[in-house]
Amino acid sequence: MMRDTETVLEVDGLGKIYARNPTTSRRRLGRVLAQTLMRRGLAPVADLAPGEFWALKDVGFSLKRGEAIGIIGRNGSGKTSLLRILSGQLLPDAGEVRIAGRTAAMIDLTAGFQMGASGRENILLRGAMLGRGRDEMEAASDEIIAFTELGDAIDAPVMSYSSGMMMRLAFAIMVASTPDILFIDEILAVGDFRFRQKCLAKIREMRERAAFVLVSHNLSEVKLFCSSVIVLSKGQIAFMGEPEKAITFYEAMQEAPEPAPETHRAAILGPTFQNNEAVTDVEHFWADADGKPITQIQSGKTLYFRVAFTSNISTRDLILGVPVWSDKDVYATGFSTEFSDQKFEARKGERHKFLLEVPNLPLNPGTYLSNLAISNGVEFLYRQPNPPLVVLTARARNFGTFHHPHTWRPLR
Amino acid sequence: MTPLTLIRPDNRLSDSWLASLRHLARELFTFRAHIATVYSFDLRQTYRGSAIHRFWRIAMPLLPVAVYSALAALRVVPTVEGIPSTIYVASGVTLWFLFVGCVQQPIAVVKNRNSEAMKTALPLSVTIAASFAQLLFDTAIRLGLLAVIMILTRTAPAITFPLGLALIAVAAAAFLGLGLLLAILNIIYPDVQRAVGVILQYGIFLSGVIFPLSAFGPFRLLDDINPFAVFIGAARHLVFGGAPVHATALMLTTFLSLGIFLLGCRMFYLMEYRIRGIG
Repeated sequence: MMRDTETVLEVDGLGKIYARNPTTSRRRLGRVLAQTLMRRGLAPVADLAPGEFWALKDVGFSLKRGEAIGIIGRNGSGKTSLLRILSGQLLPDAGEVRIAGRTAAMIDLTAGFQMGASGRENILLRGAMLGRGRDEMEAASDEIIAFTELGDAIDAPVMSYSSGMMMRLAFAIMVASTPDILFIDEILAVGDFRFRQKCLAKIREMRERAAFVLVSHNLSEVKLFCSSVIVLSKGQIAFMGEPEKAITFYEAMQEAPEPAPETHRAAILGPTFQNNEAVTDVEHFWADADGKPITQIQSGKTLYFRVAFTSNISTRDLILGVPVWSDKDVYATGFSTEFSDQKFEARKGERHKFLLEVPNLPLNPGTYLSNLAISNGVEFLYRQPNPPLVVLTARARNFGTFHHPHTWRPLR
Repeated sequence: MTPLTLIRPDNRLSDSWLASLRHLARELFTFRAHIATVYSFDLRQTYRGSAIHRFWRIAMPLLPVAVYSALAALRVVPTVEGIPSTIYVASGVTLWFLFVGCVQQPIAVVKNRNSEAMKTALPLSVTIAASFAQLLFDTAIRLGLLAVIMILTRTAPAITFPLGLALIAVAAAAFLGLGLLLAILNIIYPDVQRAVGVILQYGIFLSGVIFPLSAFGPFRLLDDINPFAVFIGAARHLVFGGAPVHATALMLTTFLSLGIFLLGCRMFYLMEYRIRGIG
């Protein structure tokens, strides 16, 4: 029984075990088959076998008609697995889900589509997968086609559709099936801006009579549409509550973004170079005020960068430069002596040290990649990567790469 | 009244055998629109793009029957007394492909669609049922050819003909049950499909399909222990007459077959949502 008539979804102590190796999964399945054959029932999970892990553990929440719950978390935190269990695609290994009403899920765009069939035929096919009758879907097909705005393309094979077109069709079919609970996984990220707004308007229209579970990396969307938000971390609920607080919590969790792979870094940073006849014993690192190397810094604090090298030549026009990229390959900024009022020089046989100071670091959270470039006029002497720098923040929201102090005020 | 759905780790395990069958039947009924749509789509899709797709659609299922019947007509293979050799071969090949399809189709569908099944709430039972369009169409075409051969050879069906049809239905159910069991086993032991494929590829020569096994001394034993040989032989005799079939043995075989069908459905019902995504 549900707690009350308005509650449409209840989740208690939900758990799901995954294995990194399919052989481990097969072994567990073999044990389950043996237990089933011997009619022993399913033994509760006591211990995990080597290679197994809880993809979801102790997840619990409830949802009432008219509510929308957002699920956010890093990749691999268990969001999609949770949605698959809720929509009846997978069985949990622990806990229980109670659902009152009809459900529809939009988790995988292509799932359920017959690629060789036309969009029109797929309306019937996908509708049938949602348990809706042929007559019901045929009656709704004009409305569905109008919503998709696909025009003549509705009679073309789905394999010729772009992912955006497929999303339009999938979404239109799903909402036309009048579910009581909708499970939506990140899919709205695919469509163009205008159509996404149309989908969101449709969702808003359905809010009163249906409930939503929305998985998204788009925090603005989550904040706009959800009445509460769950932050999943390693399969467990790390936070559950109001959207703003949940988003703040999630942003604060992002303290250690995954480093970009070496190959990705190399592609961003470009070619490296070192003229040992010109400069040797080069040391360079991001530092704190005490001169100690750092790999992380809070946005808004003062950032330091230290360089030391032995010059084997005398330079006429020494230039030190630190170009900075985000790990999304956005050229964020550069710190160069080239446009400094001060003239820099190096003398042959001497060791030189330089300090770069960046007050009120305006970079938004993320991992930043950079090089140190030393040149004598137009002649490069040295170009090597600096250690990646992770910028953290306690601010709830950020846009783009930079945060510049600003204010808005109403005008009368 | 709003339907209440419970999703638990032990889902289905406490359900009775009868509940299992009822549930599977209800699934097929609920998704009948999907099955019908996939049937019509599959039949239209096969050989799509070919200029003579209608020809291929008819010719391909007839090809093995025609080749083996020709061999029988030319007396390349041993023949049997009482039934025209072409009828013997055409009926044997038609039943063979039907029974083999019942075994192989669930294995192939569960294996190939398991990952996709994890992404939809569509029951695998429905996906399996929806995959039988081509097999049923091919069987219908072969039965048509068999009817033509019966007219040409002036072979009338025996009085036990309805019993023969019932036995074919029972046999198909038994092989489907076996296929469902093997489909589950194939997810746990991925070699099952390959082994079954090899056995069935050459099994046609050891199942009394094209020639009677009694013609090959030591293989005569297979007539009694190879389920394909048992069913094909018994059905052929009930439909066209010939050597009498032992009634008690037939009853026992029928009960055993229904048992295999029930076991297959039951195990598939219990394991369906547990095998999803593993592969």
